[in-house]
Amino acid sequence: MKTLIVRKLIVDDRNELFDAQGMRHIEFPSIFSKIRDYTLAVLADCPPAFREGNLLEQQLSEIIKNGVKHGNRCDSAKRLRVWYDLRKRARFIVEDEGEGFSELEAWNDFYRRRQTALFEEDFDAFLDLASYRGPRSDAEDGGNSLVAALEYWNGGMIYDASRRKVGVVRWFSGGSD
Amino acid sequence: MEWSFSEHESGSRIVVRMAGDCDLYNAPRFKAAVLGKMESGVRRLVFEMSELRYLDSTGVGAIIGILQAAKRLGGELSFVGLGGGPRRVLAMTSILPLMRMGAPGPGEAVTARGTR
Repeated sequence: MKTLIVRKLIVDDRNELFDAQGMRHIEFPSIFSKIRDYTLAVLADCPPAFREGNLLEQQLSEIIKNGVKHGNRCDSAKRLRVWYDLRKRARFIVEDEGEGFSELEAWNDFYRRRQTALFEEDFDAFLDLASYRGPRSDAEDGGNSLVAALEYWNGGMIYDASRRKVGVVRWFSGGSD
Repeated sequence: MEWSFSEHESGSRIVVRMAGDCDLYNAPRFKAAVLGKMESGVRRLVFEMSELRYLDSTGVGAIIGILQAAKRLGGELSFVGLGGGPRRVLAMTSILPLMRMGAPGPGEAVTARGTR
């Protein structure tokens, strides 16, 4: 018998993912056209095994984009702060200066409905639910970055109480020193 | 971070070749171009993806939008050559089951001059 298991985004201010001790730190102005450049700067010394082709770059770029676009609204005066640690696993903390991810509960509700439609093989309903559309979404938002993120960050994806800061971890088989 | 897409006719179908990085900067224009084709009456499209290197959530959103348009308009889509990171991203977003994968037909894997 199949069982539906739906992950969700979590707020946990005291989670160990927010312990930045020993992590490297870099800051960027919130310039939309630079998002992929910022990602490459953070990953400049990344072990090749962690890159998994360009999957790590893509997933980190999504988090940076969310901070620059949805958090800081591309206000170049607002900073995006990234803490990172690429020893043994890929771990990041990304903080913006926006109002916080107020749609987190609405997104979790959307994701449950989306995954339920997929579980029930109701592909017509699933296609309608494939992209999240919130009150601030625009036509260029893919609406699916957090769907992949919940799958990709296998060590956790946690928001702090302000919802302006997210911590993520991905572990790799074999690890690295 | 190169990106190009191009199209050519193959029998009764239009083959859309995607190459390079379909990302937050390029995907909206790509989506608009394909939707424009579909709105103007093109119903059978093949997406040749063997040279697609990078696909982010905006690119996935473009593909979702194209799939939704095909459902609305009665279009027939197939995808060939999908692999690597783009396949993994589409798998992580559970979009793969919605995509009809097909073997490339004559002329579907040709290199055409790109449209930036």
